Amino acid sequence: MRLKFLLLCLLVTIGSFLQQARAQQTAVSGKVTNKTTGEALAGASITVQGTKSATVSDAQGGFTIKADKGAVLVVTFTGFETVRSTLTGAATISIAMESSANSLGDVIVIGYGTQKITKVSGAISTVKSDDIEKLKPVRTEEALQGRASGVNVIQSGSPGSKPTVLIRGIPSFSGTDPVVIIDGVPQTLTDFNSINAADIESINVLKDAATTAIYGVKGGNGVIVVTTKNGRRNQKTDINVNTNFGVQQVVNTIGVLNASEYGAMINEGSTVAGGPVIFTDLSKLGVGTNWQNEIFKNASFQTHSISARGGSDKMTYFLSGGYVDQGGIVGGDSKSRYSRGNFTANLSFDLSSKVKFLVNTTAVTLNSKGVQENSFNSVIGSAINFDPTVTVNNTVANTVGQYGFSNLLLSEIFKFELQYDVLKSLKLTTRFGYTKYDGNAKSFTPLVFYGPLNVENSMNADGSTVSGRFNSVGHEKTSNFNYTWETFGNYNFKIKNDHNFETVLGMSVAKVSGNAAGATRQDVPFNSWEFADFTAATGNNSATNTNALTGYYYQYFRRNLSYFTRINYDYNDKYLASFTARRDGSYAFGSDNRYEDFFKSKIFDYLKIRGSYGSIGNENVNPQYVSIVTGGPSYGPTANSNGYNFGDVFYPGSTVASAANNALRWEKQLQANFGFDAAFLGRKLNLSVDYFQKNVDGLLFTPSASLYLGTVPIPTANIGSTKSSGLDLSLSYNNVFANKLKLGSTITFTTAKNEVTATNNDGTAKILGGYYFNGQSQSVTVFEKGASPGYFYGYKTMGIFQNAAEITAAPTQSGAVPGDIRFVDVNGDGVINANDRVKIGDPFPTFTMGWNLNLEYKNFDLNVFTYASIGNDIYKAYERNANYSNKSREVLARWTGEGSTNDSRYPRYSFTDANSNIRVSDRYVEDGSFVKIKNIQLGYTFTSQAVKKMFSRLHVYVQVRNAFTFTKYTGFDPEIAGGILDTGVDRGAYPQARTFSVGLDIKL
Amino acid sequence: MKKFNYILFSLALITMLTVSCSKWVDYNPKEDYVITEKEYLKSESDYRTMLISVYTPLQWLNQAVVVGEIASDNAVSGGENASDVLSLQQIDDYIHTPINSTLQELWTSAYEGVNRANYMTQYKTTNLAGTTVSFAGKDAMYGEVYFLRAYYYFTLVKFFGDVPLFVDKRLGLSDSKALSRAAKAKRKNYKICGSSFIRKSIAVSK
Repeated sequence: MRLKFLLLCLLVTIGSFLQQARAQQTAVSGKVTNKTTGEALAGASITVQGTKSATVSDAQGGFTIKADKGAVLVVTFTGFETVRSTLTGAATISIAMESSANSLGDVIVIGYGTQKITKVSGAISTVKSDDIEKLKPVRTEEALQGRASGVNVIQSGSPGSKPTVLIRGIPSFSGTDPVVIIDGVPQTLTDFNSINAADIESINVLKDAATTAIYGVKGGNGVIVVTTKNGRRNQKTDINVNTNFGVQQVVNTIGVLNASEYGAMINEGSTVAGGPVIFTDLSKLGVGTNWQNEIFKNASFQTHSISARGGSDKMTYFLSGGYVDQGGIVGGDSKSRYSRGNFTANLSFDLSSKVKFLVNTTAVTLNSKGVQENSFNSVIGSAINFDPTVTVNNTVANTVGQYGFSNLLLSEIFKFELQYDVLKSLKLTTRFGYTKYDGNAKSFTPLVFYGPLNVENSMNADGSTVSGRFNSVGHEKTSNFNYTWETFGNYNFKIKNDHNFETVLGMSVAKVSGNAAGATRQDVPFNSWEFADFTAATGNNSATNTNALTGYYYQYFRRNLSYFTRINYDYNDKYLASFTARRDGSYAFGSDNRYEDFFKSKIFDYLKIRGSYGSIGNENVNPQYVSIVTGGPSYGPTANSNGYNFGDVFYPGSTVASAANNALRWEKQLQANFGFDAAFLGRKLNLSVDYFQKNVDGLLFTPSASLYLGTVPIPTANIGSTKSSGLDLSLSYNNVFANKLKLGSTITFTTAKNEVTATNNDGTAKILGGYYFNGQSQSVTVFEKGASPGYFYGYKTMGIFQNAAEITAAPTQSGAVPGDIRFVDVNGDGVINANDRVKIGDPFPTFTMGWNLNLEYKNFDLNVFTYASIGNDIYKAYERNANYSNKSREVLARWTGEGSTNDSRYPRYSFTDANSNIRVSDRYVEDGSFVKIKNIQLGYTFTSQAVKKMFSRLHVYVQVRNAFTFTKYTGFDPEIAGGILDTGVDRGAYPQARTFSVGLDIKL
Repeated sequence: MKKFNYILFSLALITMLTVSCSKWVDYNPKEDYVITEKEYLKSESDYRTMLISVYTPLQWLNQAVVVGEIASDNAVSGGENASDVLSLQQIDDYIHTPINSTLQELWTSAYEGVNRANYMTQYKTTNLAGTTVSFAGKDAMYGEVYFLRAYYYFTLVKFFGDVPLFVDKRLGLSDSKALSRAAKAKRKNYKICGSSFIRKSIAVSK
């Protein structure tokens, strides 16, 4: 409360110093044109420096304004250099504006306001609509990869899937998504899925505490501010049509054995273990089936959009419709595909000279069909491991486990904004934004026959059903409704002409709520897709089968309340200081900690050197209470039910099921940022560098507790902390050579070093992840104190035991025989056991770089975008290792006798493995560094007179996405997305496709 | 001055909204349809249903029999391969350490039984809200609670010797690492005390 009063006083005092300028004025009229094309520029803003006179140019570029002789006229227009013209007393004046190649004239949208980029003293990366449009991304995050320094995007190949986005390092083991603000309305990264990339005007990524503090609790992981296109005042309608068609193919497959090689290996494995010969006649096997060829099919890709933009004096509009359809290369268009239709309308109305009403709405429908991915029984994993001697037709559906089908989503994102100009410099805005989302999903698990000896068979070879097995269909309806209602005031004023103040004061109320209901039923008629629906299925529960007909329902909500303020001060546009404070309240915290204060202050900004320091936070906690749970069976931390069988009857019991930690609070983050922007060579070369250091404190961890407390889960406490530091760099060069060749090149460089500095009270807590199964259940990644988050943890190897004497001489390794892998005794205790596990790799890159190159010569244009990630490791977890599953071609290089090989990646092959050669070790770790040429686009713009009569712009182009990948990794794709504990673990991850496409852009 | 009025007006408006909205972040678990301990133990059926869950850890102690057999020469373990039921294999070979998943499960399950019994005895006379819920057979029912608690401690003593002893309430995080092993004598006293109460309570219900 004290804080609030202090600010109130400050504002009121300053307000009384306001001045007004008065002088003699004459009318001046003129025309604003584009210097290069001679086109009239409508909607340019003309002001008289030092006064309040302002006007806007009309559709012909004309304007009239009152000013004194000798006054300076300032003319600005987005994307053009600002023109300052001293009035000579002439009645008319002509203003020619040059388009700005560099970004220093731009206006950036920051929290609750806009600011010229030169005045921003925080670390912000920007991606503009031109770059986004050239890429034609399906999901907008693709446009951020390599183009915004400080942002790390790891994509997956599955159509429409969510990539991992990390801004400035890894602060925690979960909950690392940045928040996305779309036109001022906070959304989550998942909602990025529903934006049409063609609607975006610009994306600003706010990286440091200085810029994100005003978002308080949501800003901890960085903020992505998306601004969609708006209409333009007094402008004739601009219609744009874009269309693009392409075909996708898989880039790489993994080498596995063909049928004959497989037969030979199986025979060896069996006989070495003392068993019989399995395939008695190898010559009959031939080449067999290449399962990867069966599942990877070429798929189509298309995107189309049409938009109209313009406005009159009192209203502006931007309308657009878009359609994206991406087939999946796994299974082809019919099995996996993602399609999205968008309609957007951004309208603004001047209800009176002081009140403006804005409506931004987007309606989206999403349809996605998918296959099970990057998991134990995923389609790709199965194709790699499947027996090549089985022919395609015998196994009816080469599809394992569950399908995803028909995921129909209807999502509307709405924003209503009312702006009221109280005084010329005081603006009150109240903004209501909501997202309404409805999803409808269905999944079908059929009866499948996998092969004669397969225990997972639910169907016999002759088509009859295995007793006790059923097919089933499941439905789920989800819906959620999130809204944010913010009210804030902006007040800008000057003192003595040189001291400029911009202030914001406001509050925000937010609610997230949702629910889901689902039902499943067994016995789908004819075991077929066509009848896979709850209404057609016939299963009913009986005494022996209670899974025939089941249902469930759940609901959730969250509430937040915040107050915020910001004061920006600049002296003569050269020195800047800024102060931001925000008070966030959440329903999840106990009364001790309900509100948290976030603040940040910038020290100075001089000649575009900036420094900032601030405190922000992260909200990812739930309300705490001691709950009672009744009934069972429930399979909590200990097995079995929450009741007891007396006689043969089960009686449900009730007991305490959760404990409360009333001292729970936010995760707090202190971030310091230091950087500079510089321009050289007549503003042709621009450099922007930032160094940051982040300390996150109060990470939620489960404290280690005595076991005599029982089985109630110990509530998490704010005891963990991490540290990150790194450098973001952006270098861009723009030039026009001999007035013919235009070159633009931008390089971004991002690096971050992360360390977990504390977990629970004694530092012993380990969060394990990266689970997979290869005969034994294994886990690969760890989040623990004293190391980087999510690193690979396992045994180190050093060659192969060539003979029995070596085994006796080495530290005790139980079960080892000649030909087995020799593991390193890291702790020197003479025994190889779990204590010898160490860090064997790090899935996160040491640094990433992006290079965007644009060339224009006469009517041709070329765009090449390259992305490199260096230092990331990959753990190969796709080999199943069962006796009869297929093997990678590497097994052909196995140890076959003394001296044959000493490479620990190729131990002897046998059905039995007492040494556990398959345990997690560096034999499965590979260097996943890569350089990918992600986009090559060559286009031609028609400028002949005949074309100009019909269209104002006609552009055709050919494009290749993911053209080339240079990497040493032997798997499908070195880019493997996942949560912090799953990144870099390849269980058969969906590879990115190479897409060839042609497209057309028309402007009417 | 008009300007000044506008500024004051808008600031006053914002302040007003500020104060009235703080109730927005108050939370009651009922909004999530959760039953908390404040709502429970208000009727006889609540008490009886809770009693049943005091029996539940008996099922989780099933490995107690297995461990006895494995440690003797009645049975061996580790049939599939070197890492099959590792914890039992170690007990079989007498190379087990304090880090043993089977022993850990026995310890935790028995203590969960103790905690559940303690929770019931803590609210025997009055419940959380402070009211007394009386019903016929309450004493006999508590006879069962005391017996179960004695049985859980008996199991713990059988496997681990001296163990921490607590009988007044269910422990929470603040009690972590605070207790130490209780001498056998003290425990024996308690068990005898418990069983005499059982004899008394059974006599009452007859």
